[in-house]
Amino acid sequence: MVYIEKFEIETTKNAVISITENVKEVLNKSGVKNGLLSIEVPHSTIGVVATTAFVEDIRIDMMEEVKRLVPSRINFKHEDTPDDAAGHIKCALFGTSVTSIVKDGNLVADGKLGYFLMEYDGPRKRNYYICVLGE
Amino acid sequence: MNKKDYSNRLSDQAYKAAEIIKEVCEKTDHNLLKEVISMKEIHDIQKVIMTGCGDSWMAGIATRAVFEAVTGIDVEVMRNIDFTRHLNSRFLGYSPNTPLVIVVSASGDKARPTEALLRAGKYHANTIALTKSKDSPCGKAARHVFPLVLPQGNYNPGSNSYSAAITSLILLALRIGRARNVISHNEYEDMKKAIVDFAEEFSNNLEALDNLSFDIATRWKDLRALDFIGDDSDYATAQFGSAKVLETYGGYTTYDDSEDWLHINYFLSEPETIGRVVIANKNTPSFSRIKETLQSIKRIGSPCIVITDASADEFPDGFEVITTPEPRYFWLNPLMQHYIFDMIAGYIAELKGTPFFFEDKPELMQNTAAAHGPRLIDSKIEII
Repeated sequence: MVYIEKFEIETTKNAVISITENVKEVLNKSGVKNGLLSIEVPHSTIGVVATTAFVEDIRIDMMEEVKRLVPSRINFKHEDTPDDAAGHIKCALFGTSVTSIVKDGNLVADGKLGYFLMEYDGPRKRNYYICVLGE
Repeated sequence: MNKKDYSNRLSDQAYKAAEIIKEVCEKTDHNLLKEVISMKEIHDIQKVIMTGCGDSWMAGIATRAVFEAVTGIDVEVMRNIDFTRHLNSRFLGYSPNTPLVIVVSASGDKARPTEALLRAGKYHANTIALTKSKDSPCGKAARHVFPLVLPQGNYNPGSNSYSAAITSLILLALRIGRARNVISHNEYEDMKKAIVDFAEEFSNNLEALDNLSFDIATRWKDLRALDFIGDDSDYATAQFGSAKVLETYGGYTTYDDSEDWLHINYFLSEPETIGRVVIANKNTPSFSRIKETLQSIKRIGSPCIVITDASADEFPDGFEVITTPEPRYFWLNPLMQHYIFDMIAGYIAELKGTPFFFEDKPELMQNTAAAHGPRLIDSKIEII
């Protein structure tokens, strides 16, 4: 079976937003015991990552490090805003989707990994999808 | 009296305002704005100087507040003659691409705005000409041309070209503010939409405002003089209204802000024969001072209309309050509120049977008047 749910949020600038609880809730609602869970943000300046669920500082480090790797500059060919141009590149590098394995009704990384939206621009209205595929 | 018998170029323009503003917004898309000024130039700006003559200068006054609010850049608005002949050159070109000098000139063919662009260029300031043609003298003198969308036909006095210039300047400010990340994507999109929404809402209320304007014109046509009061961006609306008195029926008029008015214009003799027009929007920081000024107007007994986005309850009894639709952003008020007095002035001219400008004396209308000395186009250009 396939179960899909859409979420709408309003971000702040360069926010790192935990969606771990929503992910677990969708998995429970889906009733899927074995399969795949996928998260996707249908935008190009906000991404999604999986990382440790416990160390909050790492979220700050992640965003700061990504900003150091792809700094906002005024000489990108894409002239919307420096943050917007850099955001497109960050998304391409670090992804707009994450897939995890579901086994016996739980994520195999349950309790270890959390799921986070990475807002590379903002504040903006965003949405994201969680899809569970399996039986 | 049938209002339709007195329709004129100003009342006609009011009914087409929303259409032209929408057209400006549609044509001024992201690609056009990127051509007007590059990302690097935007980030080089340390100061903006807006300059123009007459309505064009007022368009700068009308948009200074929004420019500063959304870009975070200091903005100075100067009359052309102050910029070209009196501004110390040390304030021009002190750093690459700064200040950004925006010269507004609808026709682009007048001497003084051309002189402003040439002077700014001489000292290596960055320049944008907001004008209808890149082939005009202003267009050729500027580093960048921002095409001004103008209505077709003879629409002089140009209340819609004034609104078009205001719209263009707001869109340019939003572009700069977004590129510098002072405003977010959501704010940028909402502010752009708010321009058209406000114009359309104003347009939906226009019939009632038009009827009121005609009624006021019939009662005010014989007043000795008209005196306009407004602060900051609303000062532009006051000044624009005062200009319409002169341009339509050549009446006596003056204008001031709410503070200086109490120092100076308060003392005009026979105040009961002078109509006072006060622009008093509720979110202007000097709203409380304007209400104090209104008390003084009441004391001296002048007939007075208040043009506002507030309800009539905000004001003491005895004033004729014209409440216009409230925009989502207070800085949009100058875009539309001028149409109220544009219509009044147009109707007064028609009721008096006075041609606009000197249209019954074509020899005095010429912008280049060899027989009488240079006027607007053939004035000598001097770069100081």
